Amino acid sequence: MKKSSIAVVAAATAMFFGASAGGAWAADTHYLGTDSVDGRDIRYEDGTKWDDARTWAEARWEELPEDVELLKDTALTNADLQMSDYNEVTNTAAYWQPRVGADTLKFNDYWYNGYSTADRRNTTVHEFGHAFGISDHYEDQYNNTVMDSCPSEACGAAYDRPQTHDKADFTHLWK
Amino acid sequence: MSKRILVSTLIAAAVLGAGGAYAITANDRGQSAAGAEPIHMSYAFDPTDKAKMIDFAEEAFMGRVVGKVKTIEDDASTLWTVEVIDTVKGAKTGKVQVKQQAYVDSDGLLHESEDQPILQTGKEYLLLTTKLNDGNLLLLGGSTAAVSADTATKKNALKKEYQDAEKLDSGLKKPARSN
Repeated sequence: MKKSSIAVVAAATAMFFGASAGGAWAADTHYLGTDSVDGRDIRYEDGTKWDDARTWAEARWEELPEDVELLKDTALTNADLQMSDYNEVTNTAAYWQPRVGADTLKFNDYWYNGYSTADRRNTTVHEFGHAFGISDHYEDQYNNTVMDSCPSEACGAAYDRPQTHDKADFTHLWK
Repeated sequence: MSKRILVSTLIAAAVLGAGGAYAITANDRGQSAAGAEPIHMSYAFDPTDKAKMIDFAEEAFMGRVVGKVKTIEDDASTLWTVEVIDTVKGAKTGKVQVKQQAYVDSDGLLHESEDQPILQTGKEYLLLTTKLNDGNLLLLGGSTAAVSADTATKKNALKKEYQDAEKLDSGLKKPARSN
């Protein structure tokens, strides 16, 4: 979790004594134990051309009641996330990677170019879920979530917005 | 405030500060219990479907990892030299260079996807790859794209399994290369 305020020091100090929320997350398989959130927002560098998918995914997570925002980075803020595009003939359509400094979110043009608007939105909403600290869900019972790890091509339904369980995970992390 | 209380307060503040700094660093890196930091992939199709994977692959072979060529941190990857032992699909022979999306950063922290551990020098694998524009190969993501093959029996079984899978109609719709 990226923090930059006094609250962070308090949280980190609590971690030092083994009493942090982060420690509790690590025990739950639906939470990564890391995310791109700094305080109550993710400041991102917008280097992707997939604006419809980006703005759609932003809106779908931001409309949840926990008030965690995605905002463009400015000259006065530090970027928490760098979004960009790449083009490789591989089976990966996108990936999110936590890093020291700004995390990385990349969209593969090789797949995104041929994707429908819905495919791009679904994939981007899923990747933003990682940026908010939610992990992939591998169990069949979570096939009806946006964080389901199974590609829609294999498992049927795909979702373009957080579903009931996704919302519960989000609330657990950010209430 | 007495001098003793002041000194005690300063020591306590230093300890708390050090602890906080440690916690921020560790947490920012998102280190898992195993010390590796996952790269979270969204796959375009089921990476456990061997028929689709071998269909998508342009070169598939048994290979021995000779060593690391370089780490490419900006690309979250490592370039490996691999000696081709046996061809499964395509026509690669001899030594090739294979890029894998996994790496060890300058601080010694391992970054790898959850379903494909970083390759190990000296080990042998079945590898599914595509061709990069620079002539190197790109390892596909997923557990079925890099399978440990440490015995002759296992190599033979894997080769047959993937060649059988290649005969199936995978139904995969591959986008055309744009370059």
